[in-house]
Amino acid sequence: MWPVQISKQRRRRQQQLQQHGRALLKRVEQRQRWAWQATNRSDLHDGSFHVAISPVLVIAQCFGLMPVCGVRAATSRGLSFSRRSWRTCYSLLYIGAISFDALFAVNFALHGGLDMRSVEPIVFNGSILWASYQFLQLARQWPQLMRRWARVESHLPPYASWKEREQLARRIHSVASVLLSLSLMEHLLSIISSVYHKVCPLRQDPVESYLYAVAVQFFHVFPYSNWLGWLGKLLNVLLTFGWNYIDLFVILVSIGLSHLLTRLTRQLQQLVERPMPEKFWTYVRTRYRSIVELIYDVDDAISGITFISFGSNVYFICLQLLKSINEMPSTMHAVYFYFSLAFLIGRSLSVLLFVSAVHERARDPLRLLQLVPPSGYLSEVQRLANELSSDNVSLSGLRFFNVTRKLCLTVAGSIVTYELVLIQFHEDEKSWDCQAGKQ
Amino acid sequence: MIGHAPNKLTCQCRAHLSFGCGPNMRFLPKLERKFRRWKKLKKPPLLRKLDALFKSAHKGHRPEDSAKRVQRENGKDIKNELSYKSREQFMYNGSFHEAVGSVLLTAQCFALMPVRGVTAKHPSSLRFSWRYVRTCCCLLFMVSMLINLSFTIYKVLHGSITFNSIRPLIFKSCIFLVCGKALSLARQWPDLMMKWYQIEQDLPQYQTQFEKRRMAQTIRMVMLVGMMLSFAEHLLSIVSAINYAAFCNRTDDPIQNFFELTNDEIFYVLNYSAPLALWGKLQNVYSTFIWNYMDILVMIVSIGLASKFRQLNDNLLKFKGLHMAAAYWSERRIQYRNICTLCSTMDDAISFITIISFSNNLYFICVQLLRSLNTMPSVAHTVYFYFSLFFLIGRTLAVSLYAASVHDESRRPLRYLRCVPKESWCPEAMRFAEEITSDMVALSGMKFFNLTRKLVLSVAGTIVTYELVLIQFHEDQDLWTCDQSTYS
Repeated sequence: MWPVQISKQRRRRQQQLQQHGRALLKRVEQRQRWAWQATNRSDLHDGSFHVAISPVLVIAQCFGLMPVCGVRAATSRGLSFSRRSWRTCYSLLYIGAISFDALFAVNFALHGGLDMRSVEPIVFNGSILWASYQFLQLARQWPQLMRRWARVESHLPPYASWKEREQLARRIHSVASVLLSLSLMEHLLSIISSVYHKVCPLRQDPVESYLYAVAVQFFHVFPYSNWLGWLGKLLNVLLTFGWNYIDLFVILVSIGLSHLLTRLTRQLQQLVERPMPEKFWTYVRTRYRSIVELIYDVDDAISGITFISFGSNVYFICLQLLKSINEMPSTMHAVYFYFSLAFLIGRSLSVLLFVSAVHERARDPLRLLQLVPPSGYLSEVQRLANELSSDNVSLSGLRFFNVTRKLCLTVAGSIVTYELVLIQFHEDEKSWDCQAGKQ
Repeated sequence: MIGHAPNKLTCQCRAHLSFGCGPNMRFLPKLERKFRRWKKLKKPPLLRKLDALFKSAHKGHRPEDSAKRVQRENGKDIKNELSYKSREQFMYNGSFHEAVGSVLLTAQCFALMPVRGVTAKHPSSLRFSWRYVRTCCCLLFMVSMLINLSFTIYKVLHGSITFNSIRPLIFKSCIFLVCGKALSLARQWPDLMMKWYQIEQDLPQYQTQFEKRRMAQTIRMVMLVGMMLSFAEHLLSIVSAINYAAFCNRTDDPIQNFFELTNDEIFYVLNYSAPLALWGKLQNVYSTFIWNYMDILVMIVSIGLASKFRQLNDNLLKFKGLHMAAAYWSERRIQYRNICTLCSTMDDAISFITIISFSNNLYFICVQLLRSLNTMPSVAHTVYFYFSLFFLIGRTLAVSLYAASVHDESRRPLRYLRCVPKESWCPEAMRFAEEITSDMVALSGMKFFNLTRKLVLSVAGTIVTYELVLIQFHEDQDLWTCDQSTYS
C-alpha cells in the first residue's frame, strides 16, 4: 500500500538527485550570485510582489522597522535576515528607545488619574511597541515567506502586457504615497496648531513650549533641557510613522494577496465558458490551493500586526469622537482635529476594505464556476466548487476575528455602543485646559 | 477463585441441603453465597469451559495484572518489584491517563475526583466506590462546605444585596456545585479513561519518547504554573488581610482579629473559638484550590483532546500531497471520527464545570475591574489586588485559548485534505473532507456556547459593556473603614 509507494517515490527522487545534483547545485549558486549582483531597475521588474513592496520596506527601514537585508535585490533570493546586521541593531535600538518612552509615559499617566483619556499615550506607545516587536519577528520569516510568494507567482498564468505587469507595483506605490503624505500632512498640521496657536504657553519661547508639550513625559521626571526636548520630538516622529506604517503594511500585503487571486480569476474568466479538459481544472485547483496556503502562512506571520492595527484604530476612533464634544480653542485646532479624525476614520475604513478584499477575491471563482457548461462539469470542477464554498479564506486578527466586510458593521456598531455609554459620564472638561496640561 | 476447593464446598452445600434449607435462604447470606457457587459448579462442563475462556480473555486486557499473577504464582515477593523497576516503567506511552495522573493525585489531596488508581500505568486499574476513604473525605468536605454556605447565605441576606456583596455567595456556591460535579465525574472517570485509552491505542503512534512526552509535559507545566500562581495569590491575600486586621484591631488577640476578618460569615453567627477559626481557614484554603482547579481541569482536558487531534494531524502532515491509497483515508477518517466522539463524550462530562468556570470568571473579572476604581488603602492591598486581577484575566484567557485549540486542531486536517493530488482523490477522502467541513467539533458550555477563538473577543466585548454600565452606578467606597461588608 502506501509505504511501498513512498519508498518508490523516494528512490526515484534520489536517482534524479544523483543525476542532476551537481548541475543543479551549480545553477543554484550561479543564480544566487546573480541575485546578489543584480540591482533592481524599474524598467526590468517582473511584476513580483517583492519588487513592488521594496521601496516601502526601504522607507520602513529608515524608521527602524522590518530589518531585512536585501530588500532592493532583484529577486527574493537576495533576501536574508541576520541578527548581527546593522539594520537589526538599529531596530533593536529603536525598540529599546520606545520602550523607555513607554515607561515614562506610564509613569506620567499613573501620576494623573487613570481614565479613558489619560491612558492614550500608554495605548499609543504600547501598541507600537508590540507592533515593532512583531515586525522584528516578521523580518526573520520574511525571506522564507517572500520566496514562497515568488514560487506561487511563478506558477500563475503569465501577464498579457507590460501594463498588467506594472499594475501591482503602481497600486502599491500609489496607496503608500497617498497614505504617507496624508500622515505627514496630519503631523505638520498638529505641529502648526500647537506652535502658532498655543493657548497657554508653558514656556516663553514657542519652540521650547512646543517641545515641552511633546516630551512632557520626560519633563515630568527631569528638568527642562533642549536636547531632551528634541529627543522627545524625534521619538514622536518615529512613533507617528510607526503608527501609520502598521496600517499601511497590512493594506499592502492584502493588496498583494488579492492581486494573486485576481490574476487567477482573470484567466478563469476568459476560459470558463468553454468546455475545458480536466487537466486545466487540476491546474486551476492546485494554483488556487497554493495561493490559499500562502494566505494562511502570511496570516500566521502578520496576524499579530493586523490585530494591533484594528484594536488601536477602534480605541483611537472612540477617543477622538469623545473629544469632538469639547469646544475647540481656535480654528486651527478645529481644522487639525477634524482633519485627523477624518484621516483616522478613512484609514481604518481603508484597512478594513483592503483586507476584506482578500476574502472577496477568494470567493470570486465560485461565481465563475457556475458558468461552466454541463459538458465541462467534471469531478475536478466539482471538487474545486466544494472547496471554494466550504473554505473561509481571509486574513484574521490573531484568529480572534476574520476580516470580512461584515466586520465593518460590527465594529461600527460596537464603537457607537461604547460611545453612547462614554458620553453619558463625560464632563465637558476642556481638553485644551491649561491646568490639565500642567499636570 | 472458584475452583480452589470444590470437594469441600459441595460437601458443605449438600449437608445444608439435607437440612432442608432450600434455595431461598435470605437470612443466611454467607450460606447463600456458598450455595450459589455450588450452583455454578452444577453447570455442564462445556459451559464451564466457555466461562473460563471468557474470563481469561477479559483478563488478557490487563497485562500488568496477569504479570502480577504470574509473579505471585512463581512465589516472588511483590515488594521486590518495587525495588527493581524495569526501564519500561519509566517510558511514556503517551496516554492521557498517564499524563493526568499526578494532576488528579493533587486534586485528591483537596477532596476532588476520588478515584483510586490514578497513578497506575493502565486505566483499567481505576476504581470508584462510595466506600473508599477518599470518597468519604470528599463527601465530608461537601457537607462542611454546605454548612459554610448556609452561614454565608445567612450573612448576605441580613445585609443589603448588591453586585459586590453577593461575591462570597457566588464564590462558595460555585465551588459547592463544582465539588458535586467532580464527584459525578469521578464516577464516570474509569469508563471515560478506558474509552480514551482504546481510542489512543488506535491512533498513529509517535515514534520518539520526546514526542510522546510532550502532552504530559504541557499538562504538568500548566498545573505547576497555575498552582504556583494561585498559591502566591493566596499568600498575598493573607498578607493583605493581616495588614488590614492589624489596622482595625478589634480585639487584643491579633490571631483572632485575622480570623474574624477572613471568616466573617462564621463569626457573624457564632462566637469566636479557635477550632471554628481553623475549620474556616481550612475551608478557605480548600475553596481557593478548587476555584483554581476547575479552570485547570478544563484546560487539561482540552490540552489532551487537542494533542490527540495533533497526533492525527502530524501523521497527515507526513503524507501531505502524496499519493495515498483509499484505505489510508478510511483509516484516518475513522480515527478522526473516534476522536470527535471522544470530544463530545468529554464535553458532556465536563461541560457543567466549563460553564461554571466561564461564568464565574466573567463575574469576578467584572467585580475586580469595578473595584479597581476604589483607592487602595495600602501597598499590600494594591499589590494583592493587581496581582489577583491580572492572574484572573490571564487564567481566563488561558482557559479560553486552550479550550479553543481543540476546535482549531480539529479543523486542520482539512488543509491537508485540500492538497490531495487528483489521482488519489477518492470517495473516502471526499467523505472525510465533507465531515470536517460540516461538523462543529469543540468543547462547549452546556451547548450554550462553543469554545472557539471568536468567543474570546465576544466575552471581552461583554465585559467592557457591563463594566461601562456598572461604573455609572458605582460609588467610591472607603476601604479603610473597619466595616466588614467591604472586605472579603
